[in-house]
This record gives sequence, C-alpha cells and structure tokens, in this order.
Amino acid sequence: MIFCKRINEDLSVREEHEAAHELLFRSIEKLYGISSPRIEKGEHGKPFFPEHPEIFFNISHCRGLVVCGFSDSEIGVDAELIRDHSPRVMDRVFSGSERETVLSSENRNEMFFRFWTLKEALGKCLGTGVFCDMKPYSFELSGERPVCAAVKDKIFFQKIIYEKWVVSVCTHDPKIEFIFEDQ
Amino acid sequence: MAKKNIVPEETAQAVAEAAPVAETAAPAAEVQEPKPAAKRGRKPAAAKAENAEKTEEKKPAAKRGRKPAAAKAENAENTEKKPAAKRGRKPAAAKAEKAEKTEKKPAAKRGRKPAAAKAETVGTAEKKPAAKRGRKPAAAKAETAAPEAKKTSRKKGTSYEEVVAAAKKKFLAANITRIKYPIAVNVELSGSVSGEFYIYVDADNQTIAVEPYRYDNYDVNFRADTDELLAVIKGKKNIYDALAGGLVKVSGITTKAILIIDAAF
Repeated sequence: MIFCKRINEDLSVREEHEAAHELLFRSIEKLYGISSPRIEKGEHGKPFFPEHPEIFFNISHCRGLVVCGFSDSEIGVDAELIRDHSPRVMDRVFSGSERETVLSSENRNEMFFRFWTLKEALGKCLGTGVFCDMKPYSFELSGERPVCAAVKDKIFFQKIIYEKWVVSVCTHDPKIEFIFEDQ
Repeated sequence: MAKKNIVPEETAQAVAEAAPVAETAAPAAEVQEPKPAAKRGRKPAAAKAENAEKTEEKKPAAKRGRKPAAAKAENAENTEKKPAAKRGRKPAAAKAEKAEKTEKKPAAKRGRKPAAAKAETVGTAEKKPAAKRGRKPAAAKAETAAPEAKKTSRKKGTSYEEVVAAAKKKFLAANITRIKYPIAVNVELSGSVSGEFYIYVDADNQTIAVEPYRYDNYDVNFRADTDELLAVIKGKKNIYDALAGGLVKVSGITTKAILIIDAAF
C-alpha cells in the first residue's frame, strides 16, 4: 500500500521529512491500528519498527509530495519532483542504455527521474542507498512495469503524478495500491 | 485500511482532470527549477529567555533568515569568554545562570537566524563572528556538547576547528563549474568530535563557502563520524566506501549530494 499526499511546496527539506513522518503515522494507524510506533534505524540508516518487525515501510519526500509505502517484506519508495536533471549525476549513476534512453527522449527531465527514482527505490529496498555502484542495476521502461534484469526477485512500480512528480516502488509484493490522501 | 481521508487512485484521477495520473507514462515534462532556500525558509525557533539580563543579541539582517537554535546557558561564564572568532564557531552553548555579558552577533549575508536562545538567567555575551551565509551555530548547550567535544578532541588530537578547516580546504578546491543550482549542505559530526558546519555552493557566483554553523534549511544533510569524514577529506578513504560503510550518511536531495560529492572528491 502506497500513500501519497501533496504538501506545501515551500516547505524546507526538514519540514518535508516531518510531513512524511506524519503521513507514516497516520497511515499505519489506519492500516494496522498502531499508534505512533517507535522507529529505529538500521546499519545504513534504514528505519524500521522494532516492535513490529513484520511491518515493512519506507517513506520519501520531495518538494510538494510525501509518500509512504507498507509491505509485508522489504520495500523501497522514492518520489521526486520532475525538474532539470544533472548530466553529471546521470554519468555517475546510470547505465549506458539508460543514458541513451534519457538523451533520446523528448522529455529528458522526466525520463531522468523515472530512472533515478527506480534506482533510489531499489537502493532503499536493499538498504544500500544510491551511493553504491548503481550502474549494474539497469532498468528497462518499455514494458508494462519497469524491469531490472539484475534484480529478479523484486517488482517495480512507477507512477507519474499530475505530470509533476514521479513515484517509484521496489518490493516483493505484486499487488501494490496507490492511495492519494486528501490535502 | 484506507478510509475517510483516503481517496482511491481512480477517484483522485477523476477529480483532477487537469492533473491526471499516468502509470509509467511519459507525459510532457514540466521542468521546475528548485526554489532558493529563501523561498523555502523556515521560521525561526523561539528565543526563550528567562531572567535574561543582556541576552538580546544584535541579529543581522538575514536574507534567508532563520532563527538560530537555542542558546541554553547555565553556568556559562567560562564558555562564553572564549572568543567565537578563534573557534570559528558560535559557541555551543550559552547556558549560563547569572551570566552577565551579551553577545554581538555578526551580520550574516544570508543569515539564518539563530536558533532560540534559551537562557536561564543569562548574562554573558559573546562576540560572534561574521558569517557569510551564516546560520547561527548549532545550539549551544554548553554543559554537554562543547566541553565534551573539546575534551575528546584533545585526546584524539583533533578539534572541531581542525575538522572544519580541513573541510574548508577541501571544498574550496572543489570544481563547482557544473553545478547550476545552489546547494546547502549541513554536516553533523559525531564521534571523537561533535558539532555541525555547513557547505554552501553559490552556483550563480560560482563560489563555495564552508562555515562553522548549522544550516537548518539544507538541501542535503550529512551525518558523519568525524574520524571517518576526516579520512575521506584527507584522501585516505573513498567517500563512496564511507557511505557504503554507514559511517557517513546522507539525507535530503540525493542528486545534489552526488553533485557536491563529485565536485569535491
């Protein structure tokens, strides 16, 4: 289950983070009836509920949007506002085919963030983040769902919201539902 | 599961005709430039002061201002006499009971306003250094942070000032010509030395600043073990290995984190 909520676009990164946690706590109460569970962080900073290890979650925030996802197995979620992309980041993180896809796209910025959010969602699901070498995790976007040949035991979902944000999810759960919370 | 305030995706789509949701589609792009920190600014923390006598600081006109973190001070007579300029950092705390002096805070070009100055019976004032983009320094809890950091730094032979100086040297040499947008990085140190400093890339003027203050309205926040960060700064360890090892962690806008890392390392 993926909860998305629009937020004020003028918030600072820290405030976005707080808004994402608010959404997390509200959503977990609705989904599981758990009120304000304690959160701890793992080795790489991935948060988890120590008293509810059966519940896996992940949050993401960007300008104007907060997202949190729940699953019964590891899950990674990333949301990004579509904006100017950085060729330098692309060179560092994207595979050759991904770079070609971006550069040949009519909408390079959107294509960049489609790949970027997939990589970040994968990194968050694995718990490694995107600072390890992500080039081997090359994504293909031509099918119904994004596919990463290097990761066969995970399923990826992606949504473009209001033509403004991209949200990507990496999980084992084949059934993911996106829910948009009222503002 | 989802109830009252939750609108299923289909409903949301129907309601927002002008803003449709497309699954794995590639609609026309809407390029949005990041707003400057000023626009995303936060409101300052409150300045609590009980029985303060001369706590009022001269606050600079802050373009991006934010109020500074609190300056708690109890028994801060000794701590505050340390010239902030020498330490290049605003004094951790201003906890001072029955303090007497007041602080003169420097004009900050883009100054964030300092976090609240909590002071119980405060009095002592310090002359704080001028910060170019100053955020006022992280909270000044005198009893804990500053003394402890100093203690450990003596033991390890490294001080907060040395860490900031090393970072400054490293980042001032960074190649930022490919950075198009401002990047504000807050660095939280822990371990042998604790404290915070910031790195700010002014893309318009192609300048970079490293100052011993906390930057609240950051784009990127690094939380780092001091020794690990020093090893990275001195080239003894690869930054990506440090990130993979978990002793340096990044939060915030990751694309900007990559840009600043690549520019400096």
